[in-house]
Amino acid sequence: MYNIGGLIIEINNHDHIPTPKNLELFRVDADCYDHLYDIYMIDYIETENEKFILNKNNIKIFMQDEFHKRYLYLPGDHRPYGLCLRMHEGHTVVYVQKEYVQLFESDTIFASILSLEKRMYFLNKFILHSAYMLHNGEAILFSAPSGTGKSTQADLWTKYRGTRTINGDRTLISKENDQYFANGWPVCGSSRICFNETYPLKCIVFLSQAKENKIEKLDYKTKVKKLISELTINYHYAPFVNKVMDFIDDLIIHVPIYHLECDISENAVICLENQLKEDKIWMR
Amino acid sequence: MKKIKEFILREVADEYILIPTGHTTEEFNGIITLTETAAFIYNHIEEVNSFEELVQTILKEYDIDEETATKDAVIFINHLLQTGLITLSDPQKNW
Repeated sequence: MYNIGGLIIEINNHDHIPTPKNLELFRVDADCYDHLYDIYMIDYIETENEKFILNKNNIKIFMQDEFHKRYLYLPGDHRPYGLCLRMHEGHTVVYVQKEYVQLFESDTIFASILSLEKRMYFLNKFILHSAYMLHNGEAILFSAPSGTGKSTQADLWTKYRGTRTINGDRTLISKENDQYFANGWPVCGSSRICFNETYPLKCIVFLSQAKENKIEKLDYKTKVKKLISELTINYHYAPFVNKVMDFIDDLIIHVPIYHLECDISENAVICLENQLKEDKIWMR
Repeated sequence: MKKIKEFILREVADEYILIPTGHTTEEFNGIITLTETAAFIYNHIEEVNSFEELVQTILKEYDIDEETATKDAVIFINHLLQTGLITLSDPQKNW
């Protein structure tokens, strides 16, 4: 069994499809599970002609009885690589098309068939596209669109301040007893840096590339917009959107959020470091 | 007028945002920012039966003159029509 963000899942991998190495970091001994996945490999996934409640390039969903049936696609491909059927609350059956089976070593693809973001939504925990860095026992999250340099910035801190990166691409944010936490997540994209560790959340830093280093505290509106753009949100499901917006409202109140315009020198580190010292959150 | 797209309207400080949901996510990415008056119009557009009634509803809510309310409503409704967020519910009345 696996403990992902506090959810105990059991995966019956009936046909031994490859699984990502990261997943093993989340393996636990447990007596019972919250959610069961039965995964099968099949030769061909039949697609339905019924009316989809969502019809996008990478995912098509329709309702079967009261549960979603999800077809998953690679960009530009018309054949699904996976089909996920919610049999009832707490049980999902996944069919993987044989010709795509090697893809499932990729943590991004494997996580997609588990709908982990939806499972976390039920626990009021959400995934931020961010490099998660451990600093003085607390988490600093560098968030930005892909290609901006999130893990590069975390690497600078490792080089100049001896910090450690917990995840190079994704962080699960949760709130327990009025305290926000950064949690390890089994998806880390191309960064290949993934550990299963949880620490109190010190701050979130949105990054953009610049020739000179400059840091600012963001206004409320900008914080909301930046968080919306980097959180994993199932936009098609209105209750998810409303819940994540409530989460954002509360997160902004409790966690400092900055915007760092930065280069890839030690000066970028010093710029953020000075701000954290000024705000007295350097050491807590 | 009737709304033909699914959006969630949320207040964010002194402005409002429309977030696409449901089928609308198939064609809209990102969020749309609205002023308070625009959000008010968006919220009430299906409740009124004519443009004149909409203007009167705005005037009851906000301390602005009729000319300003009319101008704001025309601009915003045209924008909503052009972007396909609303359509006429009663074409004979042009509303």
